[in-house]
Amino acid sequence: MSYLNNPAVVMDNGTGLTKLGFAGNDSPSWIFPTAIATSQGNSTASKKTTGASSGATSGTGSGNPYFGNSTSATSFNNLNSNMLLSNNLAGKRGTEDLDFYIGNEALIASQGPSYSLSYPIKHGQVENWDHMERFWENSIFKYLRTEPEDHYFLLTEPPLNPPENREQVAEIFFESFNCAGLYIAVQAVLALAASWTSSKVTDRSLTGTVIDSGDGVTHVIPVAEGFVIGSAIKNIPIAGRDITLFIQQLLRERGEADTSLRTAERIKQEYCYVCPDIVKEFNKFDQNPDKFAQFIVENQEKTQKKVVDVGYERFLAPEIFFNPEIASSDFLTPLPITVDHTIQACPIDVRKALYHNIVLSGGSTMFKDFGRRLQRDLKSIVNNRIAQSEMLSGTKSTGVDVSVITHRKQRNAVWFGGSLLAQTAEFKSYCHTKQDYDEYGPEIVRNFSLFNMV
Amino acid sequence: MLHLQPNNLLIQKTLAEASEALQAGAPLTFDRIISDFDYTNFHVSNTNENRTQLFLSVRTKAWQSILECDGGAQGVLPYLAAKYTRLPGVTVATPCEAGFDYTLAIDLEQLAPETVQQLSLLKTNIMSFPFHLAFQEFVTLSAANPTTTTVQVGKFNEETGNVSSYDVSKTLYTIQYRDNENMFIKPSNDRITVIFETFFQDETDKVFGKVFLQEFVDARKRNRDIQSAPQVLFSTEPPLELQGHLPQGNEIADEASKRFITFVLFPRHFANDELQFKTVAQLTLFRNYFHYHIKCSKAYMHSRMRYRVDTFVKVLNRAKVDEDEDEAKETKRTITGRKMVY
Repeated sequence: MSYLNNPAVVMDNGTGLTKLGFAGNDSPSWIFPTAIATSQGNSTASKKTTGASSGATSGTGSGNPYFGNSTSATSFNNLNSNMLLSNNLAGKRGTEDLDFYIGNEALIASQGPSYSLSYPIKHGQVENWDHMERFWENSIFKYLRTEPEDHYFLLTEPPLNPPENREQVAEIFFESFNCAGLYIAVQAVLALAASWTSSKVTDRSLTGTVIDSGDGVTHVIPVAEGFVIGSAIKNIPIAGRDITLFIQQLLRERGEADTSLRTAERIKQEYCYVCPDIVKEFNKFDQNPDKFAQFIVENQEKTQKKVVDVGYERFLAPEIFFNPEIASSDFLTPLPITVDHTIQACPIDVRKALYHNIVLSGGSTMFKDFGRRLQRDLKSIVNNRIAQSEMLSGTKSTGVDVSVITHRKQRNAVWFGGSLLAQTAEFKSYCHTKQDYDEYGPEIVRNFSLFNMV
Repeated sequence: MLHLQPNNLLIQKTLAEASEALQAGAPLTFDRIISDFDYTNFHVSNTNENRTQLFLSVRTKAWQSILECDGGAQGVLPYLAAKYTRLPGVTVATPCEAGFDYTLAIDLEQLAPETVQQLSLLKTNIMSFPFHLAFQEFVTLSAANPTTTTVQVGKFNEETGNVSSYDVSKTLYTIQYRDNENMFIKPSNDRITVIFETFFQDETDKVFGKVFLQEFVDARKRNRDIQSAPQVLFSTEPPLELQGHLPQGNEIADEASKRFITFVLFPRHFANDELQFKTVAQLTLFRNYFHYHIKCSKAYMHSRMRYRVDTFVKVLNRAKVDEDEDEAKETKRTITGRKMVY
């Protein structure tokens, strides 16, 4: 069987972004929004508008030769397809189900009148299976250019994903796509696996606390021996978008020349860092004016330039993880305390290991010194508790080692962990194959054997 | 309706990324796998010492058969070399990377958009070699025995036996591009016949596939507007062109489920280079396009099924007995009118 030589496909479909690629690569091949633009309206009424709009979108797409719009039938021969539809099989019922765009193309197409944009994944879980199926269809054939029958697939799921959803995924992948084999991994476990690249990690265990902070929400997920401790998972409603909004708010209050969300996002990505102490940092800024930065916004034609000053938000913005009260009024628990509560809610025998291996994942954990600050704050909480219990019991504690691990692959940690695991020789033996599926049905995906790597 | 492009988007993107990074003064180290249809893998790599030179290696299932399709002359190597070395900054690396079939070395400093485009077409270009041979042979055959009358398509099968008026090449180019499926190209003096073997592992696919293949044939008959498209024939038995050429004895069990689809290309389909390229690009993607649409139909069926189940669930919900009224009588209330909670 020659498909054994083909690399496995690793797909991480997140709420905001989808990461696609092949096992063995160090970064995803494609990262685009998990968005799909479907054509709306009935077949006869919308035909003409579809043609018109696809002309318009291909016009905008032509600026970038690599992302030209050609998914649609109407974009390569508008006139002929109309005539064709009139008297063959496709004419009996429309072909709207084939007329859609995904990813960046979807965002462009949805600006036209005849496409509506939707995000099939909400809060990490697939909401609209029709759209998701088509999204996968296009990502496999158009972007990855693979015949699903020849490849094994590694997909990801959020913690606490109901098993019914897994079954749905299996039905789609085995029945629609006939994929050779499938493994569905929990995102947090993959993030742990990705941390093995860090030099600080000596033992390749699947026990640890994962702090996964994306665009919408931050999760703190304890994992013991590859199993997620579901009862202890905690969410924080502070994530990348809140930081961006906070920066935007500061820019507006100061009356900067450009206060768009995009500018705020760029400032967040390029200038922000975590400081050890806010008061000292304010003083530093006041004594040392070159800490203030300037961000230059150019418009698309590069004709106009606007200069935006970047000030205290450099360290204030990421600070909302540690002091949420500066940005929000309804959620006030700092991240280190939430992490501590999470670990305290876990069985007592794994707590030490959970403190010892705290792994960061997701774009909003990329701030400089984020890990160091978290480790310091958490350590002081833990040490206080130990001191108190030593005082009360009168015995000496052996101490708890708190360590937060930062590594270079943090941004796409989940995808990278998947790539790492899927390139191992054993990966295929952990997958469920098409034969298994045909034999037992979709419920086989309720169980996946864990990677036990030593 | 996805129009699969002959070029590989990911190669385009990766090369563009590489050249952008070089221009920005921060060249990247590459070691990436890129995949394509039909057991084709690319490997984009460079070394840490020399980041301006990028290697693009390809390994494809069809390579062996393409290498041998001109009687072992390995004409594909000079063919590809001629196509790529004329581009600035591209050289053929010899020997090629271990485990791969063909390697090109690219100097990123000279990378032009046209080069990127051609490099992303590498797989199509490899596959086009047997077609290229067939086009050449067509020229010699048609010069030797020019046809004056237009051929009646309906009589096609009878005519193949009639060698005197119909000069068929002895050669049959075979591309073994998948395990169970081959592509055959047979040039003659007035046409080139391309035959695809199709084989389905899945029972559902078999049914969908049959409908589709039949539709390829019927659509042309029914529609006046696409009369200039190649003639398409569909059969469950090997067409006459393949007789004596099909490997005997192996996969007898599979024979029954094999289908054959034949495209008859007339000179108007490969009159100039541009048309030739278009024809080849579309034919080499035929199988993938075909399978994509089978998958789309299944997805469509699934969405219809989900919709239907939803409506049934709605009907069932409406049929539920409303228990509130009975309960209202029985629930005990306190003197103040509050419900008792058990």
